[in-house]
Amino acid sequence: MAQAPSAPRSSLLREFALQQAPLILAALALGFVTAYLQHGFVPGADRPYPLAGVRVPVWHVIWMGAWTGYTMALVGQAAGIFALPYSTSVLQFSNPHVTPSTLLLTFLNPIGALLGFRRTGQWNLHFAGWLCAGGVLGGLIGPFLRAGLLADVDVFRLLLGLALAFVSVQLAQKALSGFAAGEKAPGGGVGAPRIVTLARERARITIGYRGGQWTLHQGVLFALGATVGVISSALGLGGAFLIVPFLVVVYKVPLYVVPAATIPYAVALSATGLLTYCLLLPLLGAAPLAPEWAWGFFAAAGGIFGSWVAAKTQLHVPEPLLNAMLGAVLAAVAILYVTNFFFPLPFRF
Amino acid sequence: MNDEHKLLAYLPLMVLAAAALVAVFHILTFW
Repeated sequence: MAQAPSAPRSSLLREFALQQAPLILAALALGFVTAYLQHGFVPGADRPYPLAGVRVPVWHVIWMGAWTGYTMALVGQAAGIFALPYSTSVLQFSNPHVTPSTLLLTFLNPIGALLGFRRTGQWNLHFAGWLCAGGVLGGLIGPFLRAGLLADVDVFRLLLGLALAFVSVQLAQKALSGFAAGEKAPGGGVGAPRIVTLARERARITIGYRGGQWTLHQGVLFALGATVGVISSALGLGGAFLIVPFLVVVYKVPLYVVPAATIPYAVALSATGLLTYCLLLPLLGAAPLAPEWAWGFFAAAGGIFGSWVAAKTQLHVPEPLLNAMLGAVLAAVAILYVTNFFFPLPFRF
Repeated sequence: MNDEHKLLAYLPLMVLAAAALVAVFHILTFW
């Protein structure tokens, strides 16, 4: 990713045409197909999404995925952090179906990055495995929380507001420290250093990258994955917003190594959460919470494009300034959500 | 920094501005 901007324009175009365009086109096609299969028509500006109960043009859902995927990827976060409040507040999709619909976005969005990381050796299943296993457990529990305690829109927005506040603090801290992933970010292309497993003893694993090494306890990774999985799958987020600060603060793992674990984690957690919302909830007697499949696929089509553009242009972006700006926006939304829970605000959002 | 890189540096700001405009358009049209 880091060396791409200096690559010839033709190689960038070829990469886009061969690796990204098929994913984007597949997501768009699946959006139309699932719209017909689920509703018998394509919802949009004229006919509302039946489960969401809102009218939103198809291009706007794609655009939401693109701009949230682009801006959040630039600061190392997932699109869901912005897409979820944007869906609930601006697009007014605020009933519980928004959660599995956004989970479809958090499931599909990182797949392009995951394939890229795998190609360049920037992934480590020993590092990610137990975290993902915990995420699977969390993804089985969280949807029940959403269908019960968090079914009320104000309670849901309170928890979402707290999550956004937490992310805004992270971004503010990165802005103040002047952090920029730059060339140290994994996925720098063929020949770049790999994240390797140096030792596995009992429940401990030691990983290494660019001369640094970090020892982690797999039981802690599992418990972390499960706890974060419950919260994230109940909200409709990929979970990196909680995993990243934990690994950075407790284990001192650098920010540019963490995606090797959080990207597969987001995919595993979102897939399990989706299955639970669609299949496990009705099997255990609760009402199913189906996603608006078309909504998720359209948003993912934009998100895949946005994340790719971010990966290719990241070196030229003033990252600390962007951290500060996006942190401020998220903080403002968080204040609205949390305030509205305790003192209902006199306007709609 | 050449012109292309300058444009890329401002791209996030332009994208955020466009997102704000589209959001306002949606609110005025569909709410």
